[in-house]
Amino acid sequence: MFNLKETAIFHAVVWKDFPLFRFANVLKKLLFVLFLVFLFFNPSFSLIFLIFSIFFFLFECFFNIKLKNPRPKKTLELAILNLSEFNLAEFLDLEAAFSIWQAINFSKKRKLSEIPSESILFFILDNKDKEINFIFSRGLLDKNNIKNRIEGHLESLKREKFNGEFSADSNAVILEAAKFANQRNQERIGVGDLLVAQVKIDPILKKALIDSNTKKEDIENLVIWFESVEKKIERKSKFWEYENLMSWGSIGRDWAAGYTITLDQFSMDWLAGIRIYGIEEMVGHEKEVLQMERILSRDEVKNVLLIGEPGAGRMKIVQELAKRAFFNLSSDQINSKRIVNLDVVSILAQGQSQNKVEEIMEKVFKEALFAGNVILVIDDFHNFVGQKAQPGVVDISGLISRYLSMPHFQMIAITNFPGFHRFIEPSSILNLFEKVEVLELTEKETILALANRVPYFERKYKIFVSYPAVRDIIKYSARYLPQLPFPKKAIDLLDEISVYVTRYTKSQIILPEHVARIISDKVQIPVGEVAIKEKEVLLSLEKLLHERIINQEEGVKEISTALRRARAEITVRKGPMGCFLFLGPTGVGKTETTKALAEIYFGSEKKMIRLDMSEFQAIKDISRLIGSGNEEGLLTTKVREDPFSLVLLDEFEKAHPNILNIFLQVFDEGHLTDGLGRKVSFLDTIIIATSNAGYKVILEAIKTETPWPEVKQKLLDYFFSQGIFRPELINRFDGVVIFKPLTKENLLAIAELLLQKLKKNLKEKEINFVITPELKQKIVELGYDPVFGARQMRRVIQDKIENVLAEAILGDEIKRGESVTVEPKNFRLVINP
Amino acid sequence: MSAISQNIFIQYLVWHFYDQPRKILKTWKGFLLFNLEYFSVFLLLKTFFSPWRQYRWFYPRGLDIPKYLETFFSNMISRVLGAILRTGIILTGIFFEILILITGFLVFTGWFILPALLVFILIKNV
Repeated sequence: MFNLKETAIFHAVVWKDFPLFRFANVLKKLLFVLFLVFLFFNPSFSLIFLIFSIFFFLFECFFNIKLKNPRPKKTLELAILNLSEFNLAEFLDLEAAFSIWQAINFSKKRKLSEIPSESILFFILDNKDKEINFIFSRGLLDKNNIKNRIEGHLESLKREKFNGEFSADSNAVILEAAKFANQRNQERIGVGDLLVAQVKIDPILKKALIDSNTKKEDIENLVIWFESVEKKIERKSKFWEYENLMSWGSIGRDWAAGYTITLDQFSMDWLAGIRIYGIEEMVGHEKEVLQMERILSRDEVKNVLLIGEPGAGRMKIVQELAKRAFFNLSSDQINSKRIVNLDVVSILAQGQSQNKVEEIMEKVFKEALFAGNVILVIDDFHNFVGQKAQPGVVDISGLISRYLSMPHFQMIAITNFPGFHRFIEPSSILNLFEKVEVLELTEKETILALANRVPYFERKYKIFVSYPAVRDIIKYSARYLPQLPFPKKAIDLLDEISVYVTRYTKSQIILPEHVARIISDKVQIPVGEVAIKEKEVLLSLEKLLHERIINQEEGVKEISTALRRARAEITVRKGPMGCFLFLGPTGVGKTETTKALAEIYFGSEKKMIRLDMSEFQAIKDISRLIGSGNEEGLLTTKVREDPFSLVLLDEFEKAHPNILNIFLQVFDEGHLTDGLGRKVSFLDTIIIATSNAGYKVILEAIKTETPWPEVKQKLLDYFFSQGIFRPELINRFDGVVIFKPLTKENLLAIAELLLQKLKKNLKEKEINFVITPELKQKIVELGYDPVFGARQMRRVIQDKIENVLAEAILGDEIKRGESVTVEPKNFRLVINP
Repeated sequence: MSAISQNIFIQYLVWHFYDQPRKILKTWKGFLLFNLEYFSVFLLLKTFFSPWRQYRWFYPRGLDIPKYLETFFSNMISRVLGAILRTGIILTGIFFEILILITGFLVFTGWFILPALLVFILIKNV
């Protein structure tokens, strides 16, 4: 049910333009000024101005506090569940109700048969509402353009008899808006909610947003961003509220506690920071804070071990706890306590010997204990426990254990996962702590965390941060910087982009292209809409590969088409950019193709992570591959550090079957959890496994001239029957590529390719190297081996040709501008042949 | 007078004499609580005889009467000193609490009579 006229908010809509309320603010100020002016000339007369000024103040307050905010009798949630019993219009706020009222009047005046959703949208955009202005300006959206398109549509509607009903779309918009407001625990439906609903339903708005690359989620995020800013401003403006008053602190709070002279010298008090700078709203992490409060409020051991990656918000959680302690919002065991960050590094720097350091530490812990109001915080706790004695390193575990077991001693130790596994887990000190794991913020939470930081950066750098830039910062940092946690990586990136925009561009607005630029520079990968360079590479991949690979037409084609499929995101897949199994005898170009792919796709052969899988034949080798508490993983750490890589798994068939199983998940999901519990993303890798298993089947098939598709099937049958690879593993590859043995013509072409490389190098020294057919023939003769393929060819060129040339160049036998060749019979140098 | 006008007049009365007084009471309570917190009145009363800044001495083991007496008097001085200083701040807190009580009462009653007072002054001046 929806009936605007039968609601309390409708009174506000009607009274909104009544002069008494409309001009109340202006008149109140004007009359007050007149009162001040007349006070000097005619005090008794001036009093009349004051009285009227107060009257208008009362009217203004009455309108803003009472009329604008009628309290609905039931909750919005209940109304959504019982639509037939409740009037949804009761839940509209003034701006939303006014826009709908204007839409009703407009439809009536224009003689439209019903009230279309576009008319509501038009008036939402037409009214100069600050929420709508915020959404369109932050979102870099052209409000007038959309408004004009809607106006055009409304003009085109047929004139009929007005029936006073809302169209089906309008009803849907109102219901969707109610649901979105309820989802965020709002009491009322605002214009922002109506706009979000319109994005879902109205085709004109949908189209306009597609044109400007904006999604429904973006509008939702902008509404949430606006609300968070508004709430913050409103909260701060109400200075008389208890929480704001409490920020003045307390005079006598410490009077019952002891002095902490040494501790104060080596620490930072979080409460002092709150008193001076206030505190930003915490986003997410509520669960972790509650868990910490529970532990710190217990009777027995009250020590927290906060484990999380640096930048995941560990300090924010401690700050939030300090805030709750400061405002007395927590339990008795925490309220009014000082949360003190102990700077152990300073103690180490000042204490000149181990004994002196221990003496200071003992004093600090004693003071914290006897003061009775201190919760001690030690950051990077793993640096001070379980360490071997050496200069500059201290192990405080023995010293602190005595205090940690005392019921009046409270401590928060902060560590990261590697530090925890390596130093704290093996130590008995772990029993004196209760663990709290800090989870990374989600992308949605990070948008809000970043939005909270935006005013700071805008003030600092005098710039405007657009929403598309914020969105792209989150999107790209999630994808391209997986080794760092949210929100830190996003905040750091915003900082870096702000510096870039301020110093190196003329713009004062952070735009998505600035974000793409900085990310591209950081990860050395072109980012953006399948970046132009990548498009070109993908389209001409066959040609580029054939510049380095001889023969193997089918293989190269298969790789190219599979990669194009994967990168154009036609197939719904979560795995890496591409995973291939290269099969074939040794020396036919499997590794060369891989290297070529790394160079073409990632810009350098160095972007290849090469693992010889024959080194992982035992189950215990898993820890070397994915890491453990004591060592970094050969695969996972490298991919974490450089996610844009080509992973080459040589001699894949030789790895232990359980290790092959690990790759099932990588091929399927595109990620792997390493031995330290960190999620490693393989989404931006190309994985190539090579194997020469079954090469005899290939040779046999070529001998008997079996058609190529059948060879592949025969080979796979051979694998399955011999248990070399399981079908589920083979199925997860984007392509199984078989490399043919090389023919004599191929070998001659390879020899030509290798000699051309040499020719190019010599050309830089202004020496012309002449390649003769006889020389090529000789190289093939010496370099080809039925078992090792063309692998020896490079070695032969090195031994027989390069050595001769090197000696001649060093011995000044060859001069610039001369032509040279090598005689194939006995490999003698011939100058100017 | 139209239905809406009648309604708005009643709404004004409800707002002025019911809604806002409740808000004033809430704010008044907030100020009173804040003042007590600012001067830590309850905390200082609870720890009234605690040693000043936790300065205390431990009694000797065995029968060492002079040492025992010395510790006793030292602790006593610390506690008395603490109590004296706390008394000062508690009294200051109570003084301001009374001030807030009076101010709050004036604001509360002032708000009730404000319309009548304004009309009265207006009539008197005109």
